[in-house]
Amino acid sequence: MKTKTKIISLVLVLLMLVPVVTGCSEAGRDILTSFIQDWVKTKFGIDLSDNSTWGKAKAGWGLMKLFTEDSTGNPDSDAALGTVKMLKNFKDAEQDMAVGRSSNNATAEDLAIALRPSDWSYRVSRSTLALKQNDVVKGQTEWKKGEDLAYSDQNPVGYQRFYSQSINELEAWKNTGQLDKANWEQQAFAYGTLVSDYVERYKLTKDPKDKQMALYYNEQWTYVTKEGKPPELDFGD
Amino acid sequence: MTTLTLVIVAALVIGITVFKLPLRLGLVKPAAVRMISQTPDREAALKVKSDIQQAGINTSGVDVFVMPEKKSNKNVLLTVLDTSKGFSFGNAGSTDAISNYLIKLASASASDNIDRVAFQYLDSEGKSLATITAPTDAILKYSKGQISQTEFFKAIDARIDLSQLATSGLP
Repeated sequence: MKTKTKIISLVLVLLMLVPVVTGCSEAGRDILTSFIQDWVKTKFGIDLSDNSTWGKAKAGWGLMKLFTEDSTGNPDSDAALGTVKMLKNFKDAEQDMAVGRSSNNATAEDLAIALRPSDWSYRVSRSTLALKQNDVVKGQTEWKKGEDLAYSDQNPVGYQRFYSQSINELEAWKNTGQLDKANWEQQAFAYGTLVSDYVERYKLTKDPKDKQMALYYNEQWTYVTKEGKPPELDFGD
Repeated sequence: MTTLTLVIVAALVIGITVFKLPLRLGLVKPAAVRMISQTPDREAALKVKSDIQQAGINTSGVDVFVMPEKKSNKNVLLTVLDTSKGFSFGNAGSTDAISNYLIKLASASASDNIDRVAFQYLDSEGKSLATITAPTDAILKYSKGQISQTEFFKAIDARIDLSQLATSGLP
């Protein structure tokens, strides 16, 4: 009974909406309305321009069936349409992360991560920030989580972007001169991460510059850790 | 015993395919949740935005997102067109404005491994009126005259916020 009432109300609302929809007057909305009229007529045979009682009833029923369905029948379309609807949350997270990155604010970065825990790019930034703030354990944990997430996306371009972001952030820190003033543990982790980033990116790009940079940072790491001889690197060649 | 097995198998098949039980029970995430939780390609989004700007598309009030697809090098281009932040289709009155906009988006992002385009249209109060999507391939074929408008429209899917569309802008 409840469902029946709901359906009848919906039909009535739609019956009232059809003429309003066909007669609205803001430029963008007019364009949209005109397109929707053509689209529902072509794709679903629903004629919104028919102003007879029977025509309105038919259109109202057709629209109700159409827009109360959960799925368009095309999974790719469903994913794209559903995702756009969730962009608000995404934009809030982006704002928090932008604040965190620009002002080295760990709380803001953690808020962003709470909103989008699967975003590896946030983890990379959180790792860099933790490292800057001498929390090497947190830096290591976040970097590892980020790498795992990047691989779970199963998008090869994503792996490369992950290593590139890590390189860019650590080198940006190094270029400020602050990394060289940091304690040995921070330096060891930063250089060790840069070695790993360049080695892994080389495996994907085969760019000789990446190999060269991996060898350069390997020497830096060896110097900082006083290990003596730089460890052998596996470039997968 | 065999009958019971058959009944169980049939119930499982119906439960999975018709009632989408794994989704309802939270065992599988909806496709949209899977896509939004992926890390977007922010660099590609900046490039696409610059490309569409160079193609003469108004980018005021336009937010661009490039979402990678799992197990693929392809991406989905999501845009939010916010009238309250200055967006307009530009060619008001043209009945083909939406089709033209889709064509411009698809053409401008063709070199960015985009295989689907979607946009959400927000009114002057920032409320969503509709979300429209189509595969890039169909859009480009239509722009080259390789498929008819009917075929093109059939490739388009949309979510219309009907009550919002009907009441938007009314006092």
